[in-house]
Amino acid sequence: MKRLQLVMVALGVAVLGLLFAEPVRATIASQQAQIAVTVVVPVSGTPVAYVPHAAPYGGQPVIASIALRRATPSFGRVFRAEALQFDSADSDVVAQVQNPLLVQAEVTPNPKATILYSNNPGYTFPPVPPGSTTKETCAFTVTVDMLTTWSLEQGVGADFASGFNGNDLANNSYVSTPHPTSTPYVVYADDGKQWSLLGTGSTKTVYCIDLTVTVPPGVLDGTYTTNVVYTLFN
Amino acid sequence: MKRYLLGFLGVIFAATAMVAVLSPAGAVTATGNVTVEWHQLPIIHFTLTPNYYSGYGSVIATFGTQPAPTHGPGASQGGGSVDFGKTLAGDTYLYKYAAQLTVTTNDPNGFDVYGEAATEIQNSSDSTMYPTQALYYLPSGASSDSNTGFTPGIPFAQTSGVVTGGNNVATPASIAYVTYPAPVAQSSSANANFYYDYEFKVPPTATNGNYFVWIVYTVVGQ
Repeated sequence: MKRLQLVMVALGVAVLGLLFAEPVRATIASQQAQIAVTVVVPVSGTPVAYVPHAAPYGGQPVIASIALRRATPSFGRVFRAEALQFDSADSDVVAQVQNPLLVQAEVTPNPKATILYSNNPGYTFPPVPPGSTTKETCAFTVTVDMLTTWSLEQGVGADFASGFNGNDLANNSYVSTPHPTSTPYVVYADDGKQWSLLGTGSTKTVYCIDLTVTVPPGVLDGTYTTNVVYTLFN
Repeated sequence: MKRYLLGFLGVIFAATAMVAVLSPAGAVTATGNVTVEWHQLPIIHFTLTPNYYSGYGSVIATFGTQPAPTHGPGASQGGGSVDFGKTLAGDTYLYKYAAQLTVTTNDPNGFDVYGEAATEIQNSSDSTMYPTQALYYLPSGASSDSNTGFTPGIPFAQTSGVVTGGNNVATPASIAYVTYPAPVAQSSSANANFYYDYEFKVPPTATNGNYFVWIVYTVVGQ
C-alpha cells in the first residue's frame, strides 16, 4: 500500500511539474532580438472633382485639377519688353533653392544582429486606390539564425492612421508552402500590447512574408506607413 | 534745259529711294495685338536647421520607457550634422529633432519640398555602400516629440538626378533635376515650417566604420 501511495505521490508531483513547467519556461524565456520592417502604402486614386483654389477665370466647368503651376493675374497691365527670349514649348523655368544636410553614424558590428534579420528594412507597395486590396508575394523575408530553441512573435506597432487600421494589413508567413489564407496582424498599440506567435524552432529558418493590404474606401490620398515588428525569444 | 530737267528728276528719285531705305520699319509695318504669356519666378527663402531643438539626438528603438538622447561629435544645437553617434549593426535608432525646414516665399500658390539622398549610405572607413532605404524621415514637432524608434517613417530615396559633390563628409552635395521626384512635403500657402525626425536601421551586416550620406532638400515654387 505504501508503495502505491509513493507512486501516486510521484505521479502527482510529475503532473504538477508539467502544469508549472510551461508558465515557468515562458517566464524565463528572454528576448534575444527585435527588428522592425517598415511597410509603406501609397494611397492614390481618390477622385478629385473640384479644387476651388485651382478654379480658372472665365467660368469654365472644372472637371479635375490637382495643382496650379502659376497664379492667374486678376488685373491687366501694359508691359513693354526688349530682347525677349522664347523657350521651347516643353521647357519650364522654375525657382528652386537647395540645402544639403549631412547624416553620420559610427557603426560597430554586432554578433547578435544576425540571429534575427530581414532581407529588406522596408517594403513599399505600388500605389493602391482606396477601397481595394493588393497582395505582394514574398514582400520580404525574415530569418532566424539560432540553433537553440527559439520562438518568434510578430505584429504591427500601430495603425496606419485613424480609419486605416494596422490589421488592414495581413500576412501569409511560410517557410516553403503558403498557407491557404492570410492572417491580419495583431496591432500592439490596440490589442493589449501583445504580439502573436509566428513559429518556433531550433534551426536556421527563413520565413517568406506575403503581404495583403486592404485600403478602406474613405482613406484619402497620401503615404501611410506602419512597422511590422518581429521579436525573438529563447 | 532737258539736261537740267533730267538731273532734277534724278535727284527726286534718289531722294525718294533714300527716304524709303532710311525710314523706320515701324512706319511702314502694319500694327496688331500680341498676347504674351510669361512666368514670373517667385522669390524663395529656405533655411535648413539641423538639431533644431534641445533634446536632439539619437535613441535606440525600444518599447516602453525611452532612453535619453545622445549624439555624435558632429552635432550641435542649431547646426552641424545629424550625427547618430555610436550605433550597433542590426539595431534601429531614432534621431529626434533632426531637421527643421523653414520656407518663405512670395508665391501665393505655395511650394513643393523634395528630399533625397545624394548617394548610397557610405562607410568611409572601407568604402562599402548600403541602400538609402536604411534611412527614414518622419514628422516631428517644433518643441515636443512623442516618436519612438518604432514609429514608422518613410525611406529616403536615392536621387536619379545629377549629383555634384557628396562623396565625402567635407563636400556638400547638390542635385540637378531634369524631372522632380515625388515631394516629401507640400504647402499651399506661401510660408511654412516642417519638422522631421530621422531613423537609421543599421544594416545587420554593416561593417565597422564611420557612415555618412548627404540628404539634399530642394524647394520649388508652385
